[in-house]
Amino acid sequence: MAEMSMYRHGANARKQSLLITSLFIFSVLLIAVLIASLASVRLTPETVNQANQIVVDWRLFVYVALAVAGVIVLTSLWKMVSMGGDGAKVARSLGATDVSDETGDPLITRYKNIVEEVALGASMQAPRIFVLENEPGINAFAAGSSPDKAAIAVTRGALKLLNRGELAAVVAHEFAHIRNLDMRLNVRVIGLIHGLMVLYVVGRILMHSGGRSRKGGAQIALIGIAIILLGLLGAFMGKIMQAAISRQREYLADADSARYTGDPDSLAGALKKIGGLQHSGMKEAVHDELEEARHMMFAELSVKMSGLMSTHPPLVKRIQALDPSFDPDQNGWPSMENAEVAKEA
Amino acid sequence: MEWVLLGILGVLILYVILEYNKLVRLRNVFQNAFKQIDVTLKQRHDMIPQLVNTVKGYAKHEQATLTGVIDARNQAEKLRGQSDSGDAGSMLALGQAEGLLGKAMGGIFALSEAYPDLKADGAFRDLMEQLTTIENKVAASRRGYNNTVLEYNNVLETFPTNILANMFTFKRASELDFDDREAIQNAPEVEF
Repeated sequence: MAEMSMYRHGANARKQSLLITSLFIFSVLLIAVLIASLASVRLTPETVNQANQIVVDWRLFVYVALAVAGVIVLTSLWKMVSMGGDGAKVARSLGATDVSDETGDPLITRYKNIVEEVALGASMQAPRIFVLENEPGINAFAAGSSPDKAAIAVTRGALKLLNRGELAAVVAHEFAHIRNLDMRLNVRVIGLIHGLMVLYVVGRILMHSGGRSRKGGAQIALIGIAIILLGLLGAFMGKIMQAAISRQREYLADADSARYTGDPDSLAGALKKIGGLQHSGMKEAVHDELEEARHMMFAELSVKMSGLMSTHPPLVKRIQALDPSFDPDQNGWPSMENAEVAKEA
Repeated sequence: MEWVLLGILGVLILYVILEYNKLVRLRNVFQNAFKQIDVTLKQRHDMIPQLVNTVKGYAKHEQATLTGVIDARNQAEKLRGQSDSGDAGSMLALGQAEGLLGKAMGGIFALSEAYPDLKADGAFRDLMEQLTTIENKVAASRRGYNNTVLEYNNVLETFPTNILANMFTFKRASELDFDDREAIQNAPEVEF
């Protein structure tokens, strides 16, 4: 029974992710068409009737639409390349140490064994493995745009504080991100946001040049303002959507983790330990560079992040998806997240 | 009229070919999954002598438990060598032998609780970690194999493919089940 609902949950999340992705494609098309229309539609006063007539320059329309879509797509591609398909590179840039060849530390040996076990359970090849040595809190991330270039990293705190099953659950969660190509999607979303920010820059240039030229200057300035507004609005919506996608992907990865290990209790256990640490006031993140990668982490870096811009669902909700009987009050968790849950329930 | 009959015959032949190929593909998949189990079981069996040697030094009076494990291991290794993936008798025998081995190993784990020196031994701790990971790999590959068997059997036994399967003597495959869940779960959690 529990397993069935686990599968349903996974399928549901998959569908929603697809919906959000198509929404993105739609918004790029919409922006391209809107700007192209502004550029190519002209009101020409007709001499005979003294009325305005709408004239569309279709060639200009196509050029502008292609240019706008091209700018967004190219910026997105450039960002995808620079954010790296190579997971190992990303992991190193975030301060993680490669422990693939390290022997002697029993905690690392256990971690390595667990990665091999989960790889077998998920029928995937094992990624490069890393440790964030200076992190006392419990967290983990996966990087790399495809399974053969993937890397996963866990914090030293996770190695120390989690038991075998819990660490396996966290590792399986990261495997799910790799299998579901979540990093690729994330890079795509970030790329799109950057593409829209580029529109903002282009819009400012147009606005200034439009103000100076006499012929059709007003229309160019108008287009510039429209581009700026659409760019800003798009980028803001993009950030909200990125957070929404990320939250959905976290639920999906939790469900897949339970499927790979056959052990949802351990995943719930790991999440409870994270919650316990956060509420006992332990400093979670030491490295600033992790802050920019917070959407990639196993758990939110700070308790205070919640709501529309949060990249992770509230811990309590993630635990309750795995263990419906979980009651945060009984575990002495302070009210902030509980209030959140109560409000939405 | 003849053309209609010919058309129906053609569709029928095409269907038979497609279903036959599907059965062959699914059979290959589960046989391949069994090879993965075979690899992990071999690792498991290769670990036993090392485990027994380490324990022997600390627990000399537990000869019976130790020979029990060795016997169970030899029996399981023999059956592993003869096993025929998917065959009901073979899977049942192998499953029982591995189940007995698991129980015997559970005996050693229980025994280690009575010998604190043994539990504190670094070599024993490393061994426990290796054993745990092999047990988990056996469990994972067994789960994978059973899933592929289920998929094959589902296709094999549903109408009308079951008629075809009978004609071409495709046999129902058997899952591999060990009767040792609690023994494995009782493996001591080692502290570092």
